[in-house]
Amino acid sequence: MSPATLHLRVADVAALAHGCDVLGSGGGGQTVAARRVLAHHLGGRVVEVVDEPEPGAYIAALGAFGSATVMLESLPTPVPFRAALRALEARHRRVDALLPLEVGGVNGVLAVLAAAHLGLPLIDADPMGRAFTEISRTALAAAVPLTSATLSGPLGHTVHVTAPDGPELERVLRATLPAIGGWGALAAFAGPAEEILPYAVSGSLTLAMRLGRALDAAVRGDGGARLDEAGVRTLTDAWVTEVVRQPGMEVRGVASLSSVSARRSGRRPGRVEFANEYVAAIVGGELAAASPDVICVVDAAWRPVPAEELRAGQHVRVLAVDPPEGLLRAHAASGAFGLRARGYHPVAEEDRW
Amino acid sequence: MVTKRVRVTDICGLPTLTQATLVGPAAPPPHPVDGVDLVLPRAVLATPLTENGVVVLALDMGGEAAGDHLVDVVLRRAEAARSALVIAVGATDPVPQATAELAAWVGIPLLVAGGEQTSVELVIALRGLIDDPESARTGLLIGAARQLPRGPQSPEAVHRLLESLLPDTNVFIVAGRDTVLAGTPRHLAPESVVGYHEQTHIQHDDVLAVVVPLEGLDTGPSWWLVAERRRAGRLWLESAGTMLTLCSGALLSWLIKEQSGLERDARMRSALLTEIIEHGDRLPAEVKELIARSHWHLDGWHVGVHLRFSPQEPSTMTMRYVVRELAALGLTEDTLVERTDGWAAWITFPAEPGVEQVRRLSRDIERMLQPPAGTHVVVGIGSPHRDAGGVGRSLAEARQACVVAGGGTRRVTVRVLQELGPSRLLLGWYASDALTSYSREILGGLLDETETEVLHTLQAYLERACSTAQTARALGLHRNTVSKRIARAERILGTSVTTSDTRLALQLAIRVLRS
Repeated sequence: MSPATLHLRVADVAALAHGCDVLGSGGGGQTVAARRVLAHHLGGRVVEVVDEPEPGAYIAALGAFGSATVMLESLPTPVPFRAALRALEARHRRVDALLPLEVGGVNGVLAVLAAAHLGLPLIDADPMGRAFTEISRTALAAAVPLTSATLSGPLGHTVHVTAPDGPELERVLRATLPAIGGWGALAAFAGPAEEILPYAVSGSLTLAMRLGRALDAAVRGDGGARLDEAGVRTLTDAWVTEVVRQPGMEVRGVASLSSVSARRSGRRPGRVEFANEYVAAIVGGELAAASPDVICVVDAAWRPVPAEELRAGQHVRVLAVDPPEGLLRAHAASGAFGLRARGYHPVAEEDRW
Repeated sequence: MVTKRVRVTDICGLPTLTQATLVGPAAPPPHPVDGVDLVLPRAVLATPLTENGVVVLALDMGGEAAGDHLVDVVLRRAEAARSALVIAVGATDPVPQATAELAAWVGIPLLVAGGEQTSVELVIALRGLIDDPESARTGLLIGAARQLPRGPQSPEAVHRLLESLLPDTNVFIVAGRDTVLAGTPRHLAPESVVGYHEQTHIQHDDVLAVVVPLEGLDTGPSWWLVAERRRAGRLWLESAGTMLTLCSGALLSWLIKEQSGLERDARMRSALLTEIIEHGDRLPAEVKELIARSHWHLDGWHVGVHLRFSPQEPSTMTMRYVVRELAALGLTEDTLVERTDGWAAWITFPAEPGVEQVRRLSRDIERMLQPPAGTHVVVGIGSPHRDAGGVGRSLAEARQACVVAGGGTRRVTVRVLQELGPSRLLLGWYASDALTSYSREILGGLLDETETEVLHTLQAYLERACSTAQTARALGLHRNTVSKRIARAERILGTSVTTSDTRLALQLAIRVLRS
C-alpha cells in the first residue's frame, strides 16, 4: 500500500463536506446531516486515504444510493454500509480497501463514515470525480462493466442484483428502493484494485479537501488566492432574478442572473441551466462553463446552493472547477459526459472540451 | 430606380411574425437589413453572420435536445457581427429574464417565433423580401387590386374589405371625434386622426397608423379612413396607405350617391312639414298620401323636438350619425327636417305622455345624442299635442324652449318647455325685433368678431352667477384669464357688471341676440 495521502480526522469533516458540496455541482444530495453523523462517529478515529492499496488488494465501491431527501428524514447510520459490504464479500472475497461510490455531495462524506466504521483504508479516487445522476453513466462504468451490486436498506433488507449491463442493473436497483426504505448502501465495482483503479477518477478526496479548505478560507475573508490555487474560477457575482423550473420529476430549468452593479461593472446578465445538477453557465452570451465542468452556485456566505433550492432574490456567485483529469480523459474518449448527454444542444460540437 | 431597403420594423411587422414575442430594446431600431443568416443549433459558433443581417436561429431543426440557451450565445455573436435582428424559431416563450436582459443590453431586438412557420420557410420569405422589396409589395398590391370592388361601397363594406386585405391590421372610418362610421378604434382615439387634409402617418409608442382623408367633397374632408397596427414597418405603411386610398374611391362614390338621395328626401320632408304646419288638421288628400309614404305618423300625441347646433349646423349625412342612437326613441334620420334655424323632428305616442315620460325622453336625448366634434347642441322639447294640428304646435314650443335655453356651454343642453317655469316670460321678448335692435346697441363693441371670446366669457360668467371660479372651470380657463376678459368687457361696454340691473340687461341682450 502507498503511504497515506491524507489522514482524515474529525477536524477535517467541515472542509471535506464543503468540498463534496462543491463537487456535487448543485446535486448529489446535501451534506448538512451527514457531516454531523460523520463527526459523531469519527470521534478520535482517523481514516487513512491512500492513492492505491497494497498490490493484489481486492476493492469495492461503497456509498449511498437513492433519495437524498429520505436520507435527511431518517439519518444515515453505518449499519447498512456494513451489511452491503458483508453481503458483497460473501459472494466475492474480503475487501481490503474502499473506493468512494461518488465524491460529489453526500456520498463523499458517507464514504468516510463507512471506512471509519469498517476500519478500512479509503482510496483517493471515485467513479466520476464529481456528482453524477446515474451510476451506470460514470467514467468508471464506461470501462468496467457494472453487472452486479449489493444494496442494503436502512431497515435491514439486503438484495443482490445481477444484470446484463449497467443501465439494466440500475433500473432494477431503483425499482427496489421503495421497498427497502427509499435509500440504501450500495456496494459495487468489486474486483482486484489493478483491474478497477486505472479507470476510476483519481485524486477525488484530495480535490474535495482542497476545494473545501479554499472555500473555508473564503468564508473567513481571505479566499481570492486560495480559490485560484484550488482551480476555482468565479464566473459571475450576481442576483438571481428569476428561476424557471420545468414540471416533472427531474429538477430541470434555468436561472436568470443579473450582475451585481451590472452596468457599473460592465458585467452582463447570465443564466445557469440545471438538470438535477448545474450543467451550463452562460454569462453575457458566452459559454463560461458546461458539463462535465463542475459548476457550483454559492450564496453570499459561500455556502453551496443546490439547484433545487435556487430562488429569485438570492445573491450568489457562480463558481466553476475544471473536471479532474480522469473524467476529462473519459469524456474525450466517449463524449458521454457533456451537454448532449444531459439533453442539451452543445454550444460547439465539443463544447469547451 | 432606387430600391428601398427593408428595415427591422418591416420584418417585425410581417404577418407571419406578428404573433412572435418581441424582446430587447424598447422599440426595434429602424435599421436597414442586408441579408438573412440561418443558424442551425449545431453550428451556433461556426455560422458566419452578416453585418446588418437577420439571424434566424432554427431551434425547430434541432430534434429533442433543449436549445434555449443557444439564444443567448447567438445574441452575443449577433452583437459582435453587428446583426440587425435575431429571430429564434421554436424557442420557449417567454424567454428567461436573462435572455431578455441580454437582448436589451446588446441592443438587438429578439423575436421569439412559435411554430407558425418553419425556419426554412421564414428564411425563404425573408430573403425574397430583402432582395426585392418592391416586387414583394407589388405582388401584395396586385393581389389586393383584384379584390377591389367596382362601384360605390358603404363604410361597413369598405371596412370589411380593408381588414381582409390588411392582415393583423385594425381599420376604422370616422366622421368626427365621436362619430365612428365603421370598425372600432383600438389604439388611436378618433380625435387624434380627424382634421388631416392629406394622407398622414402617426406613430404612437409601438403603434403605427395611416390616415387617409376622403377627398373630393366641396366642404373638404369630413371622413377619414384609418389603418392602425402594432409593430409595423414602412413597407406596411406604404401598402396600407395605398389600399386605403384605393378603397376611398368606392367610399366617396357611395357618399356622393347617398348625399344626393338624402338631399332629395330632405327637400321632400321640408315641403311636407311646411304643409303640415300650414294646414294642420285640414291637410289635402294628396299631401296625406305623400306623408303616409314617408312613414310619418300624424295620428296620436306628438312631442316636438328642435335641435340647434353651434357654431354650424351639420350636413344631412352627418345628422344620420348624430341621431343614430336615438332610433330606440323613435327619432330617426327619416323624421328629421332641416329648418332655417336648426333641425326639427317629432316623436309620436299612442296616448298622451305624462310629465315624467317627457322628462325621461329629455334625459335619453341628452345621453344619446352625439354631436360632431367641436359642436354644441341645444335641444328644445315641446309639450304633447294631438294629431296633425298638434305637430306644428309642439314644434313651435320646442323651438321656443331652444331659444330660452340660450347658447349653452355643454356639448348637449336639453330644455323641456313644460319645465321652463318663469323663464317662459322671456319667450315673447326673444321674438321681439325692437329688443333685438336694442340689444345690439347695448352690446356694441362686444359684437365685433375680434371680441367673440370676451362675449362668450361674459355670457358664461353671467350664467354662473358671476362666479369667476365656476366660469373658469366651465370654459377650461385660468381664473385670471376670466377676470381679465370681464374687465375688458366692462371697458368696452363702459359700465361695470357689479350692479344687478346691468347684469340682467346684459344677460337678456346676449340671450336675445344668441336666439
